[in-house]
Amino acid sequence: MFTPFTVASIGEAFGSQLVFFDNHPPNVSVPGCKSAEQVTSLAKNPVIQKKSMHFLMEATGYMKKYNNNNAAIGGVFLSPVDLPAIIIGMEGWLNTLLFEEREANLILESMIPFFVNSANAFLEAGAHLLILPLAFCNPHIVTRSMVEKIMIPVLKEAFQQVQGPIVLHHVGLPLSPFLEPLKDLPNVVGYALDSTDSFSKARQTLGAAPVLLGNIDGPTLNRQSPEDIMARCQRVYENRKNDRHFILATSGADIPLQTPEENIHALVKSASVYGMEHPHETE
Amino acid sequence: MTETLANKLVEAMMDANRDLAHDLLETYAEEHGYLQAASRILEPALVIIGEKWESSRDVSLAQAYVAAKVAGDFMTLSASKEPASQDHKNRKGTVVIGNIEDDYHSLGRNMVSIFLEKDGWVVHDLGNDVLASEFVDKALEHEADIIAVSAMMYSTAMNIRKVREELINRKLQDKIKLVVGGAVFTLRPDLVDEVGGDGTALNAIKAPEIFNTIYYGMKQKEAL
Repeated sequence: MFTPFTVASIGEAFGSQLVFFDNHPPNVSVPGCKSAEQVTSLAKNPVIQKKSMHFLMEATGYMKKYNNNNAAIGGVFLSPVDLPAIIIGMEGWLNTLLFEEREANLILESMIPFFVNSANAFLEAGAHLLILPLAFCNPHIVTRSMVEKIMIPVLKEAFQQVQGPIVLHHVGLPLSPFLEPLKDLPNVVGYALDSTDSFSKARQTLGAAPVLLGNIDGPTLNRQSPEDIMARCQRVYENRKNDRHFILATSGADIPLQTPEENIHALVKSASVYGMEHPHETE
Repeated sequence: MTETLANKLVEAMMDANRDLAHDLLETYAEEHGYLQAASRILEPALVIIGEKWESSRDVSLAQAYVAAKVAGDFMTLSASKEPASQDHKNRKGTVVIGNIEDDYHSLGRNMVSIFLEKDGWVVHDLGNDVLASEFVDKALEHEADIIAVSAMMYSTAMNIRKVREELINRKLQDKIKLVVGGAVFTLRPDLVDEVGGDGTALNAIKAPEIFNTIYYGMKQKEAL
């Protein structure tokens, strides 16, 4: 089970204006902070921290209460290199990273304790693991040099202070080219891959230990037939039949609301039909 | 020489080195003029990056953003140092651009605006969360040839259909064309038809191509 993927409340706590919709989560319409100093000052404020996490903590608490430990709860949050995009806007953050080194460093330094406190609060509230969509480490968003020089040191420092396991998510874009710099980050136990990422190549890069999740394309799930979905799942299971650390999952940010129920049932059914053809040895 | 300089400019933009890119262009422009710098150095460099972005997808958003900033810097500089270099703007059409109702993801729209302006289009930016009726009202007010609408997500992209309906209801579909764009269209090109778009671009740098194709197609049709 996943906690709601709605991080606009973080932006709201930092003064951003939000807009609300009938059919998807709220969005930041006007970012709250204009300067690095403003971000760092607010990030240190415990009231802001609490306010930003209020909804997510409440949701996690309810999930724990009604779940009775029947399923693992994944707390969906943002990494310290992605949080600033919610606070100063996507363009503002990209601009700062590219052209304002001092300000970028100030913001990132302030995001580390903010992230660590939020992540550990998630775990204390009942989440068993954290799931972090990692946009600012994706080859379609930033360069490898930015990832290696700016992002990885921040992620290392932050992740080592998290009191639980972390799964990194591809945010709807292929992640394979940057798996190398992303391996060996503290507490990272899994990677959710894009539908176009290769499991075999990812395994070569990451080694046998981390869990790989994917790669049924979520955003197009409504446009496939249940038979197509079953066939795709069968191919994935066949590809991963000797992989002990694999979980079938949809890739992409989400599946469309209008996805027919039969399609979702086909996905679930595939696990019992094909997932059991090659039962793993138990340790 | 110009080819080498264009390649150096590509390297500077791919390294996100805005200052070096700026120096390369300004040095050439001081000697040969800003129009020459635009057509011989900046334009070929952007074509190279646009092709790379489209064919291999190994250009990141950050690198494309730097390219947009360099192009924007250069336009500002050339306007201040050599105002005559801006005259070519009158040679292309007019576009009103904005993010559709409920959409607030402005980065792509801002980049497209820069590349259109650099290409000689007159751009009227309406901002985020623009209603279909406002798009058409503003297009009429500015005598625009094209309405350009951006959306990031499927749910907001569906609101673009209202712009098409508005154009049909006001019998403007032959006079004003509708170009759509945004991440969701890159992932699902079939959506262009679904929302009633006349075309899309695979990336911001390549955007002027589709605008020019549609615009000159309209002009040809008018001439017949």
